[in-house]
Amino acid sequence: MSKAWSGPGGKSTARPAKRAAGRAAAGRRCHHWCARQTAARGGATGSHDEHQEGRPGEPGGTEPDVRFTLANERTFLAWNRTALALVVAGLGIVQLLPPFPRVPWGRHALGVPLIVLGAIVSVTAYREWRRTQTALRRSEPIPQSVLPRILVGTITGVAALSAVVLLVSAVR
Amino acid sequence: MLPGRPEDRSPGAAALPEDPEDLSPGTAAERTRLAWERTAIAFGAVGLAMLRGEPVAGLIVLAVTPVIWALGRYVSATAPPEARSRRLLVVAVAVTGVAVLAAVAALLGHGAPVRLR
Repeated sequence: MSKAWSGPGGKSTARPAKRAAGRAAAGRRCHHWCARQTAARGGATGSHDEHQEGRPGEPGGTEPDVRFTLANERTFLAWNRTALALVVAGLGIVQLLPPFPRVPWGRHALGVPLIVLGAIVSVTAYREWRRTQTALRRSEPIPQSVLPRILVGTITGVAALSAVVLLVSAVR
Repeated sequence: MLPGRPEDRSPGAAALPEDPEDLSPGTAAERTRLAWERTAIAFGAVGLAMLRGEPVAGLIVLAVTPVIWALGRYVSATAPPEARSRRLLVVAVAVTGVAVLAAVAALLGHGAPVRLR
């Protein structure tokens, strides 16, 4: 097995030349809905020695190595556990912390964004799982994930906000 | 060690393949099953945490836990792509539902003072 799993966001360098050539010949340089339509019409799929042919009704391309499929699935599950952790953290802030003195909105301002972030992370993880799976099926580079940026941005914002809330409740 | 799984005995370093998984391909499926179980446990933990403040929401989340666990039991290398997609959609919908429940509990729940002055 020469194809290397390059991880989320990495550029897959291994692209079987034979399959790339077949795809170019078939002119299937389109996004995944369009590719699915092509497959549903019985469009041609590239062939590969070790991979079974794509069946109608599935996204275009051929079934990737099952290890890549499973790794993609584990990434999705890990993001969903992250989402659950964010939800429970937000709920804990709202329900378990004592109210900040002089900042009655403080707990909600900190907790609710975390809960909303949990929902966003879960939905985005599903969309990215689909995107990655489609890329794997077509031996294309793995698309870069936006989830780390969303996570970093929101957590940084919540951290800054919690500093503000603490300062306001202590100083005023 | 699962029945039917090849023994994970590494041969000499010279015989190691490029990808260690080539030695025993079952480990990827096993890792994935464990990831599903961790996810189910996370659901259970969230449900228990919510049970204290919001018993109804907590019970709903706890009821989802065995569903996630059962989905993880059927991680199969040969599952058709559409079935896999549907199973993961269930997880995404469940997590989003938990987030919605938590948001409602945070904004309207017991002992949650929504007095914005």
